[in-house]
Amino acid sequence: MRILVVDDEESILVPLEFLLKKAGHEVALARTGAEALRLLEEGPFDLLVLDLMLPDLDGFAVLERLPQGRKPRVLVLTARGREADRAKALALGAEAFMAKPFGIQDLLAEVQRLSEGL
Amino acid sequence: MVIVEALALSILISNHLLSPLLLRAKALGSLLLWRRLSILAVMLLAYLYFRLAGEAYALVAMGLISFAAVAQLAPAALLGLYWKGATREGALAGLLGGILLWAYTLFLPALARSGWLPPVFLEGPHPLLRPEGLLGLRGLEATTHGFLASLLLNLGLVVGVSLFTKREAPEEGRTGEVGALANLLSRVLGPEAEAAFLKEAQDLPGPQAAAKAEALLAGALGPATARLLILSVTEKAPPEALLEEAARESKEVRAYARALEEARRELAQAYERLKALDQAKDEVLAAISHELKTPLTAVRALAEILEAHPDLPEAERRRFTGLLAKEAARLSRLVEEVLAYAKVQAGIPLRLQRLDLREPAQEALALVAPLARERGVLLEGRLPHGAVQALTDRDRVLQVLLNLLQNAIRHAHSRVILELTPSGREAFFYVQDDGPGVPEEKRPWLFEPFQSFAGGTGLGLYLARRLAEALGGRAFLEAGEGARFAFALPLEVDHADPGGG
Repeated sequence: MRILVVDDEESILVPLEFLLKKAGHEVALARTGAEALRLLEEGPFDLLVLDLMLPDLDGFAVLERLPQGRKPRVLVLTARGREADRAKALALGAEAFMAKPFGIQDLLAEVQRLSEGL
Repeated sequence: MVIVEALALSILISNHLLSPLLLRAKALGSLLLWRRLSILAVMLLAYLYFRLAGEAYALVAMGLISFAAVAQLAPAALLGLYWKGATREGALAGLLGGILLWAYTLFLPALARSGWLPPVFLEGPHPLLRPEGLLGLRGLEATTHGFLASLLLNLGLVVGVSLFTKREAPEEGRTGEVGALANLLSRVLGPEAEAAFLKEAQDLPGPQAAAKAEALLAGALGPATARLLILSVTEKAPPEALLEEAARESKEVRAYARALEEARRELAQAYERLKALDQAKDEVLAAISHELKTPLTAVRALAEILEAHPDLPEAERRRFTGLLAKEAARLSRLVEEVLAYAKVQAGIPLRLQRLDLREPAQEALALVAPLARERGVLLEGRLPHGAVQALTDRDRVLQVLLNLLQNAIRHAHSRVILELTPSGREAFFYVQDDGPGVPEEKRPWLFEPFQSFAGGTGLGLYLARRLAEALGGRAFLEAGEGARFAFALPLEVDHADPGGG
């Protein structure tokens, strides 16, 4: 499965990349919303792991601008545990929502669940 | 002349005597008839008098006698106008006495002289009481004598009785609706009078409008009728003293209402402030938890990975432990700053001491040196040669300098300068870096809590400013290119307000 992980924090990207690769996925990393959109244009991804708080375009903006055609499934990560954020993200097409801080087992289980649905 | 006088007299009679009576009898419609009858009566009386006295007197003498009678009105009228002490009783006594003496000295002798009354009215009961020579006076012409005597008695009585009677309260004031008064005027005097009255009295208070309407009515109908008519559409005005009291009370009530309104507004403002503070507190709490969650996520993930994979390649393991240490440090820094923030919110106790400001500057430079080395930033201090003495809190000054220096080092490309310059009554610390500077749109938020633009906690600059203010100084970003933060500290200062709140 091709996975794009978008987060502005190095300390989040590094362990996520390690874990997802270990689980047998192909992983690409983006640190800003613009970078994520550019990578999404270049090639199709099966899963987008998206942080909501990004320095330029935030996660919601990325969700709104997802390229038409083969859209990836979306797992949203956020440190803001607000119910409104969850509802908005789900309304914009996200399929799963994880609040930081999460355990790696939970994350991997969620990714597994999403990949099985393919 | 006879006709004019007869008309004048009959109008006086009809206005002042007949119309009030008719009004009471609710027969005002017959006023014209009564006025005509009174003209007739006046002329008949005049003719009668002429027939009675005419044979002994010339017309001129009769006119003079009448003039003496009319002159009896003068003392009461003049004193009433110009002497405050004149009373109604005095005026009545004067009029009555004057008219009686006039009758005794002029009118009755005239009738006696004509033969209609016995000669005793010419002689008087006693030589001293002779009608044309009172008190034995001789040599005065009869008309002059009677005129002077009656007027003197009249005047004496007005003054004397007035002095011995209490002044009656002035005629009670009336107050009424302008509309009702105008309606009355329209009925009695016609629509033109109503329009004129409305134009003048529209904005007048009740009592003044009533007085104006009464004056208009009196001009046409005489004061007595006017009074009666006005009574029907007005009510008794409260006495002046009561009015003043009411005005004073209403002023007090208004002042009280104003004070209440003021208090209400202050309360509303205080409530809004509290609400804003409460909201700000919620936001701060949300911001703090958000700031904590990111490093916590990393720490948890990294620790779990290290635990689950004991056989990681050395390079990868080192990379993860490095990240773990960095995030743990970030967490502890964050906790420290949150604690400092809480302390600042609760108020900042100051421990003042006299000190050389170069000291905390040097210590701050030494403390941030490792961070600068790690980031490859050259640290430079530009301190004056002489001591810069101030009475302040050493630890707080150090804290402000550390926050500004750490902020600068995080943003600098290669160089950070700390400068200390006494200027006037203030000492200025300048912290300058060669980084990109602060974007224009972010300057207004620079010193607000949790407004981080480069991965900091967003508390450093906020704390620097709050502490600077608690020390009686200020912290601000200098205008212009690059980032040059200034921290001004008063060299002598009252620390009456330790900040906080």
